[in-house]
Amino acid sequence: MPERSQIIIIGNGAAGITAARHLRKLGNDHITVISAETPFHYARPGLMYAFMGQLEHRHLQPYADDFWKANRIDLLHDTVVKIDAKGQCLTLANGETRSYDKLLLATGSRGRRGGWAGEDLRGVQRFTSMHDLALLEQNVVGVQHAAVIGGGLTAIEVAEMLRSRSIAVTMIMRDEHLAGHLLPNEESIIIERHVQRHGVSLRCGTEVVCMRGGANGRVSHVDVSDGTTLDVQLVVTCIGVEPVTELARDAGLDVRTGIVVNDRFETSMPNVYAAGDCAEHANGLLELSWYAAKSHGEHVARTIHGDAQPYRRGIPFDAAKFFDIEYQSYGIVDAQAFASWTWAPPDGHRFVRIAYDARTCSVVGIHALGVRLRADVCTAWVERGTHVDEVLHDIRKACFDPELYLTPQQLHEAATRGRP
Amino acid sequence: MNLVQITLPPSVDNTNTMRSGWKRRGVAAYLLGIVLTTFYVLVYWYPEALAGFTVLFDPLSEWMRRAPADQWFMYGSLYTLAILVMGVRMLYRYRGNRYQMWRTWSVMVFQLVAAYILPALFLAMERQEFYLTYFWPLKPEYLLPGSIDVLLGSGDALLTFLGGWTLVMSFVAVPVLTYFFGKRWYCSWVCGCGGLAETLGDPFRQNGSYSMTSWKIERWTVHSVLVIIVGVTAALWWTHGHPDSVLAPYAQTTWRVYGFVIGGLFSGVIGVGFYPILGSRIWCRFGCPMAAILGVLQKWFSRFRITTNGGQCISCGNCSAYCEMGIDVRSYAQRGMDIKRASCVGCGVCSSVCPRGVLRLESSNAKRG
Repeated sequence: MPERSQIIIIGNGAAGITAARHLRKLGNDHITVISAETPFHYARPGLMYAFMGQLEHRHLQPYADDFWKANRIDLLHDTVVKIDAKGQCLTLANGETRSYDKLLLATGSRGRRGGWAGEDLRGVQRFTSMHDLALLEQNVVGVQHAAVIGGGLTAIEVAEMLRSRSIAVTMIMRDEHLAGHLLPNEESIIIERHVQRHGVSLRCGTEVVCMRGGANGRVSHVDVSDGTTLDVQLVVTCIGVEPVTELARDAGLDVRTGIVVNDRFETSMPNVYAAGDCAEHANGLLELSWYAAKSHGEHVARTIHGDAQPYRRGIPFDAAKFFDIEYQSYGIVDAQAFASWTWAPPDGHRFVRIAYDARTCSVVGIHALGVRLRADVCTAWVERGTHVDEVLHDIRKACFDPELYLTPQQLHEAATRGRP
Repeated sequence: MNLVQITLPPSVDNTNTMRSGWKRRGVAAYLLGIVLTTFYVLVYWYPEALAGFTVLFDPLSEWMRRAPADQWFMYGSLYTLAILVMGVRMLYRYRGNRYQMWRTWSVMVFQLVAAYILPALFLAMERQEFYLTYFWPLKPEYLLPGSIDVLLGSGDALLTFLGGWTLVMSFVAVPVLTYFFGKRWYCSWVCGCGGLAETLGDPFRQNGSYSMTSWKIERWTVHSVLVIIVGVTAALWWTHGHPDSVLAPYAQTTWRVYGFVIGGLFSGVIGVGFYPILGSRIWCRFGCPMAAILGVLQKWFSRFRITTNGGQCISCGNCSAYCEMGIDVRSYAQRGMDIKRASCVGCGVCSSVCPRGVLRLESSNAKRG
């Protein structure tokens, strides 16, 4: 390996930029990040705040402009059209070629298509990128009623975005409950009531049959599986994301749903790595999450630097905000498979669930709605499989609400009453 | 705003803040800036221009202070009114956040009682006007020879108490309270300048820059003002002991210049007049020598810090955008680092606006609060 390798990273999202930052910490290599999406790195989860006028676009940039120069990370706003993995070089849109010693694919994911008739009408779109944000700004003009397809975190965020412009929103989702694939019913019901109070109508347990447009080619109706038809001027589909793999596939890499990697994020070709949403673990696992992408990025930087350790996935964790209600999740909370201790004060917007194995009493997962918990404490409890009674006894140690909040004391009092 | 919305669990709503001309340097903001700036210039240097308005406060002044209103009473009344009215707005806006509610009540009560009613009462009792919530070097007079001698040498119980109060607060309470709670005990719970910034200034808090350049400027200016006022105070005390010194007139002159440039122009005209353009804490951030002292104490001798919660930061930038002191909170939060910055006034808004619950203000000694 030459003294200073040429490292090229395709994709300036969470995985790519985290890898670049850590590579710079680890060594002195040339680092170039190429992105077709934006000239700069931005915080994708913050896109909604730009739409809502809570932030300006420039606020979404987590690092100041001089950061890149100071850390000698070259940013290139260009499209890679071809990778020659054997010749270790790639071709840009203008025909220019660049050779690399190590290549990281961090091409991320894009919104999935549903395959419905009418999906290509004007006024039907997805929401995962800066392009989608710009498109949505155009598409919302004059809209009275919009349909959001899907019931997951992004769908709820899009509903909140549209409500901030006073657009009537109907959510169409296959699950019987909002975020039903993530949350047990009790949590789902709290969120459902909350979004309904924010003026969102829910069509749970329904699917889109097709979308129809007017003479102008713009969407005007959505036919729903319950036999009704919605009059809409905008449809945002949020039914999950899928890895972006075209470049990798064309380059002859092993690609299934994602780009297949081993536990060191190495692909089937030497000196080519993949991380973040675009990567698929050898066992078929896809970790389609912004948080996972960050930890992939950190890990793959070590591999590229030559200090490869097998990637050990931490306990699952997630955090989100449903309109006004914050949500945190640690471990696996499956209300069917495990016993639970729950706290649901009468205000109806706070909730804590501690899921544990009914036989061993080991805690397997923790959910919080409207309550802030300490990540390190909860993670340690779940990782160690701490006894549920010990967790209840020490619940106050996990509270992260601001000072003067009553929640820690209330939660503690409820917890000292013990398990039912 | 209908009843249904009031019953929602409230989180701070900043929708469209960045599109508001009023809150984000539009025409309305510049007009308001001009009005505020003009008002301060008139109050400080051309009070006679406001005489027709000031006279309206005569009945209130006679009732409270047994004296006709001057421009300072008129100004103090408007100042207090602004804190109370905009304080009620704060209480509504942050109604889901007990830290914000308590803090807002605190600045409202301190302003009304300690900075408005009591000074009037002292005057009515034929003592001198005195603000219990201002100390050297924010209010340099209180530690200058003229004031200390009068208070402590008066033989009057109340004035002696006030003299003792200013000494104890400046030399004992400031370091002790700052050790336990950080500078926030003063800057965002007690101080009148802070009180105005946190109430009248709240709609403009997002206009402070969080660039590295502004941080550099801020460190130079705020510490320069501190060095100057320490020098001026020392000079006045030395010449007080050596009244025949040739330096005596110079000391008096520098003090007058300080009063004009820093006390009037910086803290008033620019400090409040430019709220809509440069954010609500221009004076506190770039000028206040009290904030400089409290900042040094907070940075090196205090338990106070903002802690971050694991890897949950999504780097969205709400914390940095809404920090009135221009701290790039995100740059710490996204690395999982504690935030221990001299300038942080502990308003807690970064924690309130964080959509992932990443930030928490802490004063406890133990790692766990």
